[in-house]
Amino acid sequence: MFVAVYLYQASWQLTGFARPAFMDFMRTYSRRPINPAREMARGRILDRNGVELAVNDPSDNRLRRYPLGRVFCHLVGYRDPLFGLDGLEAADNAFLSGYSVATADEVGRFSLNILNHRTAEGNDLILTVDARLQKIAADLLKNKRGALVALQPEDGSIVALVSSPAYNPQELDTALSQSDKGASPLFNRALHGLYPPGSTFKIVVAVCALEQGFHELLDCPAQGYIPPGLYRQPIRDHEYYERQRKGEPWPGWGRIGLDQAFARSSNVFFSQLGVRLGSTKLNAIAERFLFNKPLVLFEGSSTTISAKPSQWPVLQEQDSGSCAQQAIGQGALLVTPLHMALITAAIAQNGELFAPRIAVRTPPRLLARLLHPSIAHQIKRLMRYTVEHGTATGANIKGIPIAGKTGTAQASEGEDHSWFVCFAPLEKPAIAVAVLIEHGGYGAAAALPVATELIKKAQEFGLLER
Amino acid sequence: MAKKRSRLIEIWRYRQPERLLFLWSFMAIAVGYVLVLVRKTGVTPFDWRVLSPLAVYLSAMVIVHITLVLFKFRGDPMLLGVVFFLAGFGILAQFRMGTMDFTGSENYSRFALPAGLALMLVVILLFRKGRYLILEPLAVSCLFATIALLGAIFVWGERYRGALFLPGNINPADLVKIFLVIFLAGFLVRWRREFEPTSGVLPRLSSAAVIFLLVFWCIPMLLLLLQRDLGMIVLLNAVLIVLLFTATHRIAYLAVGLVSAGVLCVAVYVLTAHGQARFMAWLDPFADATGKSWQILQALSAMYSGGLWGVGLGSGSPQHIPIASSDFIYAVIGEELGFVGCGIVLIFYLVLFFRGFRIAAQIGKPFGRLLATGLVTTLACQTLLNIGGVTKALPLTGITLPFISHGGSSLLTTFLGVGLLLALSEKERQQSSSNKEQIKRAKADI
Repeated sequence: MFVAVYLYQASWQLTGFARPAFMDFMRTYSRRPINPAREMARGRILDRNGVELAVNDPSDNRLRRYPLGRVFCHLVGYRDPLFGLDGLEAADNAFLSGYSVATADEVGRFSLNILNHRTAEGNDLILTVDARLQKIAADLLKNKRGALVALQPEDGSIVALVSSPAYNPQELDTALSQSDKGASPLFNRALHGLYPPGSTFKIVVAVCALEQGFHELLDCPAQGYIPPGLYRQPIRDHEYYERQRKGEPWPGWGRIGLDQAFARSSNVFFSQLGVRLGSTKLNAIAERFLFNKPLVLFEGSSTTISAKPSQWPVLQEQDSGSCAQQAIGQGALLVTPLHMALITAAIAQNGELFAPRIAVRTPPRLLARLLHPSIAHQIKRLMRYTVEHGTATGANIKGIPIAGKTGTAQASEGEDHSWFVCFAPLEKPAIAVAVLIEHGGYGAAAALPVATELIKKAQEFGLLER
Repeated sequence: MAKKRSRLIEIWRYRQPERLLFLWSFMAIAVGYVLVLVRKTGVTPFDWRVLSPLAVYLSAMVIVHITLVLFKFRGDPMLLGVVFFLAGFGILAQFRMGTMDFTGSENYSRFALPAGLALMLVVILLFRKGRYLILEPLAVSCLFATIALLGAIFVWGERYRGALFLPGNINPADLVKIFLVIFLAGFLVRWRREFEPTSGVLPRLSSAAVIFLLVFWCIPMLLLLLQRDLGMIVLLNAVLIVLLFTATHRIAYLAVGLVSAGVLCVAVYVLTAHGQARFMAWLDPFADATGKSWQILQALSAMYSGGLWGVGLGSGSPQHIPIASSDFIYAVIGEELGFVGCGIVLIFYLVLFFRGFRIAAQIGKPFGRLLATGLVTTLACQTLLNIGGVTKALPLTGITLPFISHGGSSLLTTFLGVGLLLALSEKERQQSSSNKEQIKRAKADI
């Protein structure tokens, strides 16, 4: 019993730095001249080039300083004596506070902290993110609502992850007390925002079709396609509505193949394709593409950061209406921006999906092989064709061969959500990007320029050399 | 004459461990004392009186040792050495805390140690050589003395820091521990058979002895509850359970004890606001960090500041912990001597308890065995409750740390108990006693 009490005493006396509430109490209320809690240095958070993202206030180490403020608010989170922990500050608290024991280095630090805890130090957390690119992304999304995820397909390293609007982690009380309608600056849209994927989901349906050896032409008339079943509303291409608004007639696409349909993003084609593929095939590919599963972004020393599972309502056998709707990324289908970025990265990496990786100390890990390299190759060609001749010609810039897919997703209310997913360069993909702009209208209009600009900057920073 | 001298030399050698332990302890304490002194006063101006506690310590220990040798005391030679160290540590701690005032005349606490040692000597000489057996028939009187004492405190006591004290800040409630241990030992030895369960885990409740114990145990407990002395209740019940177990060798008593302790905890939590507050401060100290949990959190902060090696004697800031010199002295040790220093103090306590239980196991007489077990259990529980409370391993009970905490009556009672234990440790020596005496004793045993 005495030994138990003595060991328990050690948990306060020697490893008290592992008790955040206790440390906060000591920092605030212990007036001893020797106050290790005040001298204790929490580890910094740095980007891949050593840029400081979170540091201790030199005058009062109870306070954290975030030199880049809003740019990293969702990813890095905050550590506040009043409001506690969030983001990476929360997920990797043990590592940053110096009491995690996952590796030999960490054990060394932990032991040193016990031996001489007056200068107890945490470990520095180094991220795979590039602060320059993150800042560009944050600037591009300023005054918009949306999210951007950029990662390296070859190992899953996240280079930028932005959600907009942002808040200032240094002024939490105002951020937390704001009640602006729907802006929700504290909400991380990149991980937790669920949106209909719209036409970006046609990538997945095209994979399914190619795997089935589909190479037929389908008739895509202007009056659209009415799937069999109760729901008799025709699915039409958006060119029809566009011409109608102008008062012009539109003949429709006529008989087209997968490449034309993909490049033109024909809803009429893909809804027919969805019905043809049927519920079993679509359910299977959705499951393989990690729908309805939580995606782990970061397994920290304290908690895990996961994205919300994307929602694929499992299709019933006779429900052709839902097959048609979900094949064009509508209906009750919802995805997170991170998930779309990962799918794009897997295509770019010839079917290999690497687990997202945010800390440099996390080794790259192959999460799954989503599709066969030959299929991936064909999809890459389709995406490049879309940029060269299809809906994404805005991304056809000089010098960098980008391959991408636009998405215009009907929102439950207001303007459509604007999507663009892409990777570059075509031959040796070094970056995969997913951009979502809430109520941004056409994918080509709002999301595409953001992604294109980001990739241009990435090239300037030398991030496209693999 | 020569025989007498050789006997004296034999005793002198026999008590060598005590002497050596004392010498080493004295040196350690003296070094610590000088460190504190330099910290406190600087080097000038030097007042020789500041050394008086150390001098009193030294002379008291020498006198005790010489007296025991001269009286050819053959009781345990290790126990007292450990007690010397802990008592010296207590002096050091109290001197460091400034409660050992050597210049003022109002403060009686500096006489506590010599008085305690004198009391211990008297008890040893009075009850040695098996004479402790005269306490056995007094067992029930001890119970009534306890009730009378607690009643007196209840009627005339004044409340101070949540506990009742008689005028002059004397807390005779400490004596209750000794009285009740004597009562339990005597009573359980007499009625041991009644407490051995015939079937199942519980003893026959129809037995008069069992009913007597149940009823008359509740009276002092109730009085203590009215005085809000929860710590004492926990302590005494732990002793009760251990003694029931020792007397009957039924493990069921330990189980029953644990269950009833749990029930009691819940009852205290539900029924008394006082208990509830302490319980909450224990479970979730950060809920009311600046209020009810202030003391415990400051104590933990002090210990964290001390870390592994401590900030050094006299360099800590015990003034930030309320009642640091008494209940929370362990936190001060933790701050100034670190985790390692706490470990050393704990080792001395553990040696004391193991030695104590060994003494108990070697006593032939059941009464002596139970009495010794009870005394050691009291000390051990007290230490555990105090250290557990200060380190937040257990809820706070307001129990002092034996030998080290500030408080005259606590120290006197502790020495009274140690004196009894030492008296018990002396075997009735067959060589020294005549044949006739032996037969007489054997008859008494039967």
